[in-house]
Amino acid sequence: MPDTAQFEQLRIGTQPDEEEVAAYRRHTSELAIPVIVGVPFPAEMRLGALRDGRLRVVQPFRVRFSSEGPQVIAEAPEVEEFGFGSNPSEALTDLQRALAALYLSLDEEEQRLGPDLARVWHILQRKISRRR
Amino acid sequence: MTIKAQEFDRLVEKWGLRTRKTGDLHAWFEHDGKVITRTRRSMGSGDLPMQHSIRQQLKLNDEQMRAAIDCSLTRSGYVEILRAKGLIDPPP
Repeated sequence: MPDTAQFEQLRIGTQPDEEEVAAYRRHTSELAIPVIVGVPFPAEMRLGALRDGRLRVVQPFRVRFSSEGPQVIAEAPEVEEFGFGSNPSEALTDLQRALAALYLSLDEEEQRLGPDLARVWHILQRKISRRR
Repeated sequence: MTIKAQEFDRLVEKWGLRTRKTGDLHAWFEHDGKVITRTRRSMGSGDLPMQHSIRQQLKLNDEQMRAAIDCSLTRSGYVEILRAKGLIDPPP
């Protein structure tokens, strides 16, 4: 039977071992409690700023959160850009930086973009403007 | 699948991707004077946390990505994949 420390390890940020959880529940007189897996975060949100003083978001980006092992991923699916971090805040900050870098690099190469990146650039131009 | 930083760098060198270092390493694939695909990796060594996004940004499926990493997919093979997806014009 798992002890309290083992159960805490199961509860915090890891995928629960169902057999151990079931064994704990069979042998304890405490009420069953929900097992919290990972850090709860919203599945989706709108991003309205990029943390880059040169750029302003005029139309928010749709952002989807997911996790891959210990990493949290913030994805802007409209432009296929991603941010990563150990928590949603870090992932979102990374995404903001990536979106700003993408905008600035595609702006430089505007005349030489292939069809997919031209599509991405068109979306970015709708959603971001340069501050004067 | 996992991608290591050195595998990413080897791919960059093998396919001749243009790179720029900011906080991350950004890489662009160019063909016939056009910028076709782009991706990036975080700086540092070891396994990259972004395998899925790298694959997606390079417009490859799982099998093609594995071939790219193990060096069996050449630059010309990658061009053909992109051409089949309509991302590069057919040769004249």
